[in-house]
This record gives sequence, C-alpha cells and structure tokens, in this order.
Amino acid sequence: MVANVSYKLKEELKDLKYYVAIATVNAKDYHKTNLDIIKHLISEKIPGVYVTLNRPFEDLLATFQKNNIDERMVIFIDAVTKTAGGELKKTDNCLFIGSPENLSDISVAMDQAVRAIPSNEKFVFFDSLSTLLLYNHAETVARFIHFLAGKMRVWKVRGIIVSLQKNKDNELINELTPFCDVTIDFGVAQ
Amino acid sequence: MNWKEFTAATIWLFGILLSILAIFAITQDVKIAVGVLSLSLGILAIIWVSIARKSLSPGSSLRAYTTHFLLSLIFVILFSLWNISDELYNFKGLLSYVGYLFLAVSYIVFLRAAYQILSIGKEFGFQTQALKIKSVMEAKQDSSEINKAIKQSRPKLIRKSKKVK
Repeated sequence: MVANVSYKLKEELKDLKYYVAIATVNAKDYHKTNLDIIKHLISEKIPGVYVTLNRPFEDLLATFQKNNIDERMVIFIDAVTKTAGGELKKTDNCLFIGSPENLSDISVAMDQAVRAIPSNEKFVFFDSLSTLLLYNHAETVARFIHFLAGKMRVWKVRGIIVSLQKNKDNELINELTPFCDVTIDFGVAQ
Repeated sequence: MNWKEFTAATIWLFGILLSILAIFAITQDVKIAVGVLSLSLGILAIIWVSIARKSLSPGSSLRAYTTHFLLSLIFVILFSLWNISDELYNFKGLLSYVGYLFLAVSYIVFLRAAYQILSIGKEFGFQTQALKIKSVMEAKQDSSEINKAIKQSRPKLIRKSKKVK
C-alpha cells in the first residue's frame, strides 16, 4: 500500500516542490494511509511537523516505531492527549496543546516548529480537517485552513491537510480547494 | 513608498502634530499636556490589545498573556490619569499615594506577564528537537554517501577479481 500511496503522491505532485494538498481518505484505511504518506515523506529524507488532533502522541510514537518510521525526523503537535485526559510526559519532540478548539496555540506552535527545522525541505502534516470540524464552526475552520494554506506557502513546505471522506466535509473541501494546489483522493479502499 | 502613500503619511503626520499642538494650546501646561498625550497613546494601546485578545482562542496561552498585558496597561493608564488629576487638583495626604499604588500593581501584573512569556518561550521552543533533526539528517547523509561509495567501488572489484581468475 505504501507503493500505492507513494505512486499517487508522486503522480499528483510531480512538478511541485512545495505545495498545499488536501488528502481525502476513507474511514476504513484512514490510519494506514496517513502512515503511508508520512512514510513516503520521511523516506525522501524530509523532516517535518505532524499535527495530530486524532491520535495521542504516545500512540503515534508506538505506531511509528512499529512501522520503522524514523520519529526523530518529526516534531509532533498533539491537541488530543490533554482533551482526552491522558498522561502528559514532557518530551522534546512533542508539544501538547489544550484542545482542537485552541487554534491560536496550534498556529503559534506550528509556526515555531516549522521555522525551527534546520532544512530547506520540510513537510507539514495536518490530521485532520474532520476533527477540527467537530470542535469548531465550519466558518472558523474554513478561515483557519485559509490562513494555514497561506502560511504553508510562506514556510515553503510540503503541506498535507488530511480529511475524512464524508458528505459533511465535502462542502468544506470544495470551499477550500481554491486555496490549495491539489486535492488527492485516497478514497478507494485498497 | 509611492506618491499616494507619501501623501497619506504626510497627512497623518500633520494631523498628529496638529493634535499635539491643540493639546498644548488647550491645557497651557507642559506637565498636563504630556500627561494627556501619554494617556491618549495608552488608550490606543488598550484598544489594540483588546482587539487582539478578542480574536485569540479562549484558553490559549497567548490569550492569557494578552489578558495580563492588558491589565498592566490599564493600571499604567490609571496611574497617568491619577497623575494628571494630581496636577489639576493637587491631592493631599493619602490620596497623593494612590498613583503609586496603581504603578506598583501594574509592575506586579507586568511581572506575571513576563513570567507567562517565559513559559510560552519554553513551551513553544523547539530548538532541542531541531538540533536532533539536524544530527539525524547529517547521519543519514553520511550513511548514504558511504553506500554510494561502496556501490561505485563494487564493479571495479568484481572486474579485478575476474581478471585474476
């Protein structure tokens, strides 16, 4: 499946060095596809920032290690552990933000993390638009993603915003498509 | 700066100078005029900080910092206001110390805001991880160069061994 994801990413983004992409993923393959996208980026020796609103950092770390993904290349921003009431262990490569409602802190953390990475090529992986919609109004989310897309262009990164394939999200995705370079559909269950 | 921007900036500057002159002309006292001028600048600062605070997410570290900053600004303004009133009405006794109370409180709140910005710096600082990423990338670069060198030297070795045979 990594090969499929890599192939699709290469095919859709072949001419783009820096981009802002919306990746729509179906619920069945959600975690696997996300992991494959990250695996593809890290295999190209690109460090980056992983913003998680879905899975706690500890869980992600275990999955990364299980799948031989070098987690040392990633700075994590976790906006779920505090909300879920999980244990907060202070780590160098993860910042725990209060909740997905806390868009100001997420923006500041992302800006600091991206600018700290000592590489010309870097990625920003935002997981996910759908979770953001659970905690915020659609209008707020649209404004935030518009802001984020603009920032990603300023940072010159490979930006991937993940969204679940849901009817509710489709309206927002259609609204956000003009701000992004490409919408990649990882929808077909593989 | 184009001609339009230059004209706008000149008008702004002229307006500000005119208002300062007006303050001096109305009050006819340097101390009070300076006080009123500081007060107007402080009020402008309060308006800007309030707008910023309103647009930040509730519960965020930045909003908490902005709240403390706003509080200290309010106390500085109160101090200025008390100072001007003192100039105008010449307070006596305990009343003359109230201004210092405002100033002391504003410094305490400033200290709290400074501590908060220190925490934000620690919280949002990723320099340690950035250094780790750098060393990992360097290590990966080195290993890929070694692999490349091995790959390049391999055909020569094979050719040599064939010749020996």
